[in-house]
Amino acid sequence: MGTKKKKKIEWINILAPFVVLAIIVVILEVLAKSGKVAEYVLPAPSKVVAGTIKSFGRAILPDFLFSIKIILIGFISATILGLLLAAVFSQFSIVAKATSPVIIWLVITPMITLVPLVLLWLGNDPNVRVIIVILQASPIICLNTLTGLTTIETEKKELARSVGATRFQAFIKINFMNAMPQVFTGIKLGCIFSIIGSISADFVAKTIGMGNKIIQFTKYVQTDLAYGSILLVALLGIGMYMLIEAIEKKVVIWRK
Amino acid sequence: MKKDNLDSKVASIVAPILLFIIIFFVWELIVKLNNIPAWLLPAPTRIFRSMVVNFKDLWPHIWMTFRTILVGYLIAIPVGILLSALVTNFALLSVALTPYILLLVTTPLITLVPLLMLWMGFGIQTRIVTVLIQSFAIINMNSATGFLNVPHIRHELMQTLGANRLQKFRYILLPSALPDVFTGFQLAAIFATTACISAEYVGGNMGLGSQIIKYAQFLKTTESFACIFYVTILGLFFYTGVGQIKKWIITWKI
Amino acid sequence: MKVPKIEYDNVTKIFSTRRQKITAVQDFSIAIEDGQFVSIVGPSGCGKSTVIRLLNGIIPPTSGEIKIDGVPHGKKKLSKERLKKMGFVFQEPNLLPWLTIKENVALPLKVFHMKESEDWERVDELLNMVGLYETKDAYPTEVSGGMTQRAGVIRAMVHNPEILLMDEPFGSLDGITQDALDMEILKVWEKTKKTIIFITHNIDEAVLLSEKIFVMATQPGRLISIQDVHLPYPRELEMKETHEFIDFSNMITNLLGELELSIIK
Repeated sequence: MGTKKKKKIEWINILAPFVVLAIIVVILEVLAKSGKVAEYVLPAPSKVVAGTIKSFGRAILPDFLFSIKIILIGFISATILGLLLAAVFSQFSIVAKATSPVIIWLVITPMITLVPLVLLWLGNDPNVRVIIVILQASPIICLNTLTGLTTIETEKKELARSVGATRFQAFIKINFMNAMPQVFTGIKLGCIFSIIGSISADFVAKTIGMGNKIIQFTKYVQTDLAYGSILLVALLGIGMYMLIEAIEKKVVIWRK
Repeated sequence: MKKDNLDSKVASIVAPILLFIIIFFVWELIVKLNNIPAWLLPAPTRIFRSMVVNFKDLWPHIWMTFRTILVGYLIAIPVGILLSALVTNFALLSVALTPYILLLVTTPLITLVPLLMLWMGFGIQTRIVTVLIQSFAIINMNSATGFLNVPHIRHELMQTLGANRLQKFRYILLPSALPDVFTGFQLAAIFATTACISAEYVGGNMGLGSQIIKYAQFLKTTESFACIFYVTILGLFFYTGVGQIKKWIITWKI
Repeated sequence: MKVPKIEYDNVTKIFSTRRQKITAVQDFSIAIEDGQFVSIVGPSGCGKSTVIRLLNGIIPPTSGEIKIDGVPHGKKKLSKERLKKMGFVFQEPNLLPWLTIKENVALPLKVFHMKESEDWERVDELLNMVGLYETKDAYPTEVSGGMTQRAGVIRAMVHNPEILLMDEPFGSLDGITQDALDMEILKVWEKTKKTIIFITHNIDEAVLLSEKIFVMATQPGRLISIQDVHLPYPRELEMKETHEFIDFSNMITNLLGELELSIIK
């Protein structure tokens, strides 16, 4: 295969998703303008972008900043908590065995079920929602990390012991590095759960936050702004995910 | 050694059960010793009693949530697998669409719930669609990963036999991808439950999600907890159910 | 004059990556007669794996022609007819872990849509021939490496191809199993008289098995010598100890060694 053809393929690889995006936007725009679909179902993409930018400063920004704050603080705390707990639990086989099903229980029970009760206990302070995010995200991070740390081949453990590594050294060099792929899968899922947790908390508690804004905009049939808000949340989600992937690439160099 | 293995297996079952008992015991103790009122934090025994006593009242909602999750989930499975099989099979589609497969997962699709309710009303169909799209996204992504990570020599094997696309799918792609596909199913079970409760929070007054809010508003914390525990049971049903099916089907080690 | 079974006519294969062009095979021209057992030897990177993949169409050539029975491959993908003429044995057994040994061996019949009873009888015959009949219902992970590799070999034969392509098939096995399988493949060849191209980096193995050895060098991958092996058939493992054998083997090793020295210079 000549180099010219190879280069062409590279360009196609990079541009193809954007071409798809362009096609989708054009189709939506044409559909919307044609009047065949109701405005409240499908506002034109141009209108969505324009309307969102126009209203951004006064109607959306405070809520967006609030949600970002809640999500980031909650997610980072959840990651630290999840990793620490998993590290501790993995030290003793019996503890790991005992806690795994309990953590699974916490993963399966959507922590958003606790939103009404948390509001009851801790009042109406919007910042309380951080707790929901932490509760929703940390179990999955903890679970994946614990699984990664405990399924280590005995050979590697013995190797560490044979070269006289201390418990801590062995832990860091072998268990931790080996678990990295699983850990990052957990962190990525935790990221997604963080956003779901935050939005769900907004749905119940209202007053502020992107979840609340989407409900408000929909209520007043300002669907272009609703779509705009959804896109902003989507961007936040993608942004966080890409950041985690970038960090992962630096840390896990040998991953397939 | 055989004895070690047996001890290990017994420990895996007994240890968590013990931990659960300890947790509930401590919880009960804290409530009783500090005389915490039921509307603030009910004792586990109170919650369990409520689950039994109120079962008749709660049943329509349990059934509603269960149905919603089941239908959305079952539709998501074939759609998710087929779409990922299609996309990954054709190089151009694969390159153009894999970013979107990821996008569907990283965007919390529950943000669409209010809009869905605007279009489709507050009925069960809206919530089923919510469960459907959230489950579909993760099944789609994990299946795609499975299809894209088939070892190259298996592709070569199919090439030496002149296999067409359908044969490739049947003989190597689908079986190779099954572990990833099932991981997707298990994660989807979790997403489905969460999505359903989320949707029930926003609208309608059916389903366990709505009841959790209702009871909390009336300070009937015990009943609220009862609903939460029922949600856990539903989620557990799906999650372990899929896990078991995975064990039955994937009898080999890759 | 009879048309050679397999012909490579000035075949070149260049792989281009973003940064460089790699000439895997350059101006490769050989002819192999029907029923011959030939080997291709050379250091890693000399293109020997590429050469057989050019033959069964996994890799298309950059230039030159490849012919089977005098008919060139052409530009399109190889037809099922043509592919059926060849059987490929991989370096790793490459068995599908969800199928039993027997199901794995029979896989080509399914993909080639071969439904005749004689084809399916052949499955059991082949299993018997290499001693896998008892384990036919076991799964690949339940049997030894030697057994899975045997399964890989008979899988390549189940559709009764005229040509067998073997890409370092026994390299990952221990010495004893390697010897045993070498002898078995000789027996198979004697019985079936298929055309066999055997790739190996083990020169003794090549001398033991083949009538002709194609010696390749690297950077770029190319043919540097064709050696006829004048040892009599049937070959025995003991032949490896004879002076004739050792001298011949050393000669080939030297051929490759000289080349390495010249590269270093």
